[in-house]
Amino acid sequence: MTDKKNKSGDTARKIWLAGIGAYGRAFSEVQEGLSKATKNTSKVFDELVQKGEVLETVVTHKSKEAFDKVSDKFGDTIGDGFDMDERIAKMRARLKRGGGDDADMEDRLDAIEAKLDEVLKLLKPKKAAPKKKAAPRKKAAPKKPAAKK
Amino acid sequence: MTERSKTKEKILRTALALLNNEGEVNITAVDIAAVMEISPGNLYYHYKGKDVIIVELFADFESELRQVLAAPVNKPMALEDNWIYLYIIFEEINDFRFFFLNLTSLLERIPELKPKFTRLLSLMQKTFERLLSGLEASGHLNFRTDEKQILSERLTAHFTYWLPYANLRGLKGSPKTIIHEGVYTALTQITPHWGNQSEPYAALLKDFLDEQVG
Repeated sequence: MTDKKNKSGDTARKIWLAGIGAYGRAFSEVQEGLSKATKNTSKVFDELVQKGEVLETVVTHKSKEAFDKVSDKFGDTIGDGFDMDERIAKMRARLKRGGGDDADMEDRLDAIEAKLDEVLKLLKPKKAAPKKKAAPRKKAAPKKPAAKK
Repeated sequence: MTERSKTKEKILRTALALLNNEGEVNITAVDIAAVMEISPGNLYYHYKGKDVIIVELFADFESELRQVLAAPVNKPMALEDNWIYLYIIFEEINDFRFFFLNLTSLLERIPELKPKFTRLLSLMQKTFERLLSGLEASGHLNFRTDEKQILSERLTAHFTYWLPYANLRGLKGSPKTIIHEGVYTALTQITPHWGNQSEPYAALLKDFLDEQVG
C-alpha cells in the first residue's frame, strides 16, 4: 500500500515538475514542443520533467537560502536536540523570577524609596514635601482592592 | 500575596481542579467539601460560597498572568522564544480554563471580576503591541497605520477565546497540542507582515508546529 502511495506521490511530483518546467521555457518553445507532442507525447513530457527538476533544485536551494537567512534572524536553535519542554520550563522560571513575587517587589520598592529619601535629603535638606507627597499616594493604591475583598 | 492557611490553600487547589475538569456549572461548594472530606460548614467557615472561591482563584490567576505579561519582552526575541512566550501565556489561561470556558455567564454572575478582567485584557493587548513594536523596530515586520494595534487586539481576542473555540470545534488532542495549535494560529496572523520573508517564515512556523504536535 505504501508502495502505491509512493508511486502516486511520485506521479504527482512529476506532473508538478512538468508544470514548472513549462514555465521555465519560453512560451514559443513550449508551443513548438506541443506541436511535436502529437508525434511523441511522452518525450515532451520527459523533457519538461527534466527541465523542471533543474528548476526545482534552484527553487529549493533558493528557499533553503531564504530559510537559513530567516533562521539566522530568529536564532538557529531549531534543529536536532531542541527540547521544547525544557525550553518552556526555563522561560517559565525566568519570567516568574523576573516578575518577582509581591513580597520581593515590595522589598525592592522599600529599598528604592529609602534611597530616594537619601537623595532628596542631599538635594534639598529643607524640603521634605516631595517625599511626604509620594508616600501616601503609594499606600492608597494597594488599599483599594483590599477594601473590595 | 495574602497569607493563607493550609486549609484555605487546599480548598483553592481542590476547587480549581474540580472546576477545570468537571466544568464550572457542574460543581457546587458542597462538592468541593465532599471531595476534601470536610463538612460543608467547615468549608463555609473558610469561604462563604463558591463565588468567593472563584474570586480568590481569579486573584491568583491575575497575579500569575500579570507577572508573565509584564516580563521584559521589548528586545526582539528569537522565533522559538516568541513561541514559548505565547505558549506560557496560554498555559496560564489553560490553568484557569473553567473561567474562559464560561466567561460570559461568570462575569454576569460575579460583576466585581469584570473590571479586573478588562484591565487584564488591556495589559495583554499592550504586551502584544510591545512585542510587535519590537519586531517592527528591528526591521522584521512592516505595519501600515493602525495595523499593529488592530493585530494586537485580534491576538488578545484569539487568546481569550481559543480554548472555548477549540472546544466547540471539537479539536482533539492533549492540552499541550491544543495550546501549540493556538500558538501556531496566533503567530500565523503575523505572517503577512513579514514582507518578502513571509513565505520562509510561514514554512518555519509550520515546521515548528509539526515538531511540537508530531
